[in-house]
Amino acid sequence: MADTQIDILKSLKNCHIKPPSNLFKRIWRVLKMNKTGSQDLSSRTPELSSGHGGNSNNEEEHYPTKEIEIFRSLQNYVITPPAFSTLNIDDSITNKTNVSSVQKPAKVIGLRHFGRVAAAFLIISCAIWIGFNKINSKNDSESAVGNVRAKNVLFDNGTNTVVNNNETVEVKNNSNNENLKSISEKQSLIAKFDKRNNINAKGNLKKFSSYSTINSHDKLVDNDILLTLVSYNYTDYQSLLSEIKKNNKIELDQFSYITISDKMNSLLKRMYTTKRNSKPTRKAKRLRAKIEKWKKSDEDHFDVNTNNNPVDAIDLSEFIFK
Amino acid sequence: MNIKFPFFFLLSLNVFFVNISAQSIVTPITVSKIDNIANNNALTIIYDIQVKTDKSKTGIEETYNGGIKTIFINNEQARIRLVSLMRIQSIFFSTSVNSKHQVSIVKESGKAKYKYYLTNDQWKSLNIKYNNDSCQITNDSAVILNYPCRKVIITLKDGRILTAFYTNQLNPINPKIEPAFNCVPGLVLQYQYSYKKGTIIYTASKISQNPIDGSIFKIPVKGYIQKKYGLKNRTKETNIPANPDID
Repeated sequence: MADTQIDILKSLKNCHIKPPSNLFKRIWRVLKMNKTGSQDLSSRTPELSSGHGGNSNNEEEHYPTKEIEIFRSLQNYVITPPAFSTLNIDDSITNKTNVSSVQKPAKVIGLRHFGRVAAAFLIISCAIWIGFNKINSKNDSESAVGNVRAKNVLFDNGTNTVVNNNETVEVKNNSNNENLKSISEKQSLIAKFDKRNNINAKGNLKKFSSYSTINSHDKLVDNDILLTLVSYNYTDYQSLLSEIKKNNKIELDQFSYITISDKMNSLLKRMYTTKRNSKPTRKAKRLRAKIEKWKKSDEDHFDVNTNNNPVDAIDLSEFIFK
Repeated sequence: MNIKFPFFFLLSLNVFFVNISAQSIVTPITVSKIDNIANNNALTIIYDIQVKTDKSKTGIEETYNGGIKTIFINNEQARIRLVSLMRIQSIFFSTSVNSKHQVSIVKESGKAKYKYYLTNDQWKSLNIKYNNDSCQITNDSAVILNYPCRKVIITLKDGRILTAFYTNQLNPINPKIEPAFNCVPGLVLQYQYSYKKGTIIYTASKISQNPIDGSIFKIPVKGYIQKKYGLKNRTKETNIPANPDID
């Protein structure tokens, strides 16, 4: 590239173009006319553009000799350019060409890389996205399966499997709408339980710290319904309360359900009353303590003394009505 | 002719035996008080627990009000399960020769879940109050779950009285499982006991004779403190794993 430019310069250096023979005369005449201001540009142009006319001799007569001499001396005047200048020019030109020669390939290389990088980035991002989606969907399905399992199984494993099996047996044997409805209702209620328990777990309740989401056994706090009911967040209980009021029942599995009596419901409602700062009222705290006292009293009666049997109607009623 | 005769003879014999076997299935089993749980081949009965009291204030009785008592019976095994707000507790019965424990009491709820085993004698001594109870069948009747029932007054030897409604159409539960109804000649569908200002009523809400999965009669092993019957707070196992399993 640099070599070709040097060749052009050399050829330019030796280039000679002879101007037309009467060009100088015509330029001169135009200049003179400008000086006098007798003619405008429009009128001058045809003269300039006119060809080599035959009146050239007449025009030559108007040229002043002094100026002709100056022009002639100028014609012979030769100025040789300084050597360093040409070198500088060459250098600058070659440098430019070198820079351009370096930059151009660099640009091409950069573009190529950019394309590759962009393509790789797209592929990787697509792969990550697809992978992420797959993992998400897998997790969702697993959690859904887990939830279904959790819904079917609430208590200890012995009961769970049985309930599960019986549930399927029941559905097969009496595949009527009522069974299906009851199962779906039960599942939805337990799902609500789960949901609320999760909310509670977020609320850093210590009672829920031992929860394992995998094991459905822990859906109830210590498998204890009363403890679960009193362990709700104060704000979350309202929805459960409305649910209890609507169904009047908490279904746990096919054979197990609990009806919350009106008195108990109202007690729980009072226990969840809060102040403006959403902290429990003094009365609510007292009721909570009362329930805990009942719990302890029940444990003392039936757990400490093994001669008392809560399954027996007489033992139970003589304890609760004493 | 020689070929057709035996064919029709065999066919008629077959129809005859099929009829006999069908009749034997349909015919109700006669009431027998043998010491075997298999009075009922498979029975699940759910009793709703209702507590009535004159007290205006809410008391501990409300934690049992609305609970249920379920009895599962399957040949040689049985289980009674109480589910209430306050507690979930089961009693497992077995008459199998291979069974280690005749009666097992398991508390399934609470922080300290436990179990303890009883021999038949210990179980009998626990229910000694029902020994020699007397039944007085009255003319009062009721229909519970479409079964016609008759009223029976059960009087214990110490004078306590239980009132029950039973049906003759279903076999009574073995007295080992329900010692209170030892003298009742049918299946009790409703019973109540009054004490001081309160009454507890058990009313059957569901009866099923579908087969029961065997795993319902398995006693949980891990995660339960093993207590000794009659000894207060004496435990054998102290470490409770997070996930209790069944053996």
